[in-house]
Amino acid sequence: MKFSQSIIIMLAILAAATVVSAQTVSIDQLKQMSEKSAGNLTTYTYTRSANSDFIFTNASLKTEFDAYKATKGQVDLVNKSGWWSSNLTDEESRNILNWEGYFVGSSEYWKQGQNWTKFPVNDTARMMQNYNEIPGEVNLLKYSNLKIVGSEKFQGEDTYKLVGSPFEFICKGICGLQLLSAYIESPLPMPEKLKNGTLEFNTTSLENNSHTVLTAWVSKDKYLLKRLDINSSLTVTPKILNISSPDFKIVSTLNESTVYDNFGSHLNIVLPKEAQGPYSPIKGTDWRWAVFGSIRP
Amino acid sequence: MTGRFNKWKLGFLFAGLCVVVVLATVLTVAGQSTYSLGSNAPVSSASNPSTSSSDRAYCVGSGYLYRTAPGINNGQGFCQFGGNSWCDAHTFATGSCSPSTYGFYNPYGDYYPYYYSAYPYGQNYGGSINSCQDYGGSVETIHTPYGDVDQCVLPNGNVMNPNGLYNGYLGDNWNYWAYSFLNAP
Repeated sequence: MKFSQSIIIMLAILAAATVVSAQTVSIDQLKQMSEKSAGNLTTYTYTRSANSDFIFTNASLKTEFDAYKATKGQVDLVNKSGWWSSNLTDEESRNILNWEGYFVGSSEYWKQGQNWTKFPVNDTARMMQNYNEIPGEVNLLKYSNLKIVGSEKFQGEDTYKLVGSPFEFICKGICGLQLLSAYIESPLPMPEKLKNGTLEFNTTSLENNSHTVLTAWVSKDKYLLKRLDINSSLTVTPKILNISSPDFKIVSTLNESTVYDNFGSHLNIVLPKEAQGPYSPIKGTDWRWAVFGSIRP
Repeated sequence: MTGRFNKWKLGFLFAGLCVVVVLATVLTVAGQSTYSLGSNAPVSSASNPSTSSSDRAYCVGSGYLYRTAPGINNGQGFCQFGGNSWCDAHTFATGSCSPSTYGFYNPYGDYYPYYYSAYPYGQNYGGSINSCQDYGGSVETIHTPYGDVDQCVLPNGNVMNPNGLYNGYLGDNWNYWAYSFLNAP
């Protein structure tokens, strides 16, 4: 083999290796690009399924609360409107709760059961931000330690698959929320330190007994978040809380999966006729919604 | 002739290689960014004890929601009206307190029913945003399985909860988030 031929072969190998490495995006690049894409959205739809389960045990009882929530929504940032609808199923009693929301014009409308309520909104831009939920999910990725674990086809699209966990301050927040949501209707009494807000997180081993894992699928062409799964679990005992108490155990799991679709498609969010009133102001909501978060369905 | 052809081939390959290397270099320019974190936490509380089963019955009988929450009304029962307004259950039963409005409006004019628990009693939504902006920061929403929460991202990359910034509390976010949730009536 001539010297020149050897050089050509070596250069070709080098070129091939460089091209391969160039096609692999770094996680920080991916975070930045998906954040940029989230800032340039026009319309999209989403579906979310979530399951929350609590198992309460002490010397004399073992009970479980298990609920499933299915949500779907549409976001139209061009026409500044949005819609979502949630069904919560109490797996024990088989009760189903419905909650629906519209943001149209300068008002928000909620329907719980058959009752409609109208909320006037002065700052529509802010309310639109509330309805536009992808930036919040992308921010969760931004503040997480993630790795690109491979490429997958998702709904026919090439995507990067990311796996990881949120940064510590978010994990602590999720852990605290999960801890307190477990006590909303717990058959076990809430520990005094938790009740009066003096429980110091760092004196507990809650962090070692909680896990939050994120799995995300981001499209390769436009860096759009296509799907985000959040799986979190928490175990609580007197020892873990570092408190003196008769023995008990709470095991809580919350698994949520959201799929985003129809980016840029035409949406027609129309307020139903019955939403025009008369209104029956909502007088509190069922506690079971809070198991999945008290801010939004 | 063959030598010239080989030279041309070598030249083409080299030129192609250069193009590939330049493209690859452009594509691999990494926009590296780092995120450093801060933390903090306020604690909210209220006062006004005293309640009884008749107070509870009066509240419920009036069509409202009777609740207890550790950070509200000193843990004593209160009567929750349609939005973010409430009375101590006993003072409501004795007529000293009545439902005012359904929910509340923040300084930006948004209506906040009580479900918007990220900024419960004793905390200031608009003030928190202003504090964040006064420090040159911007408010970012972060999704969690329990709802979205706001964080203030400061120019140096530090992340703080905006209400902690407003109140000057330093501490742990877990406390802020958790008790915001818990205190939502």
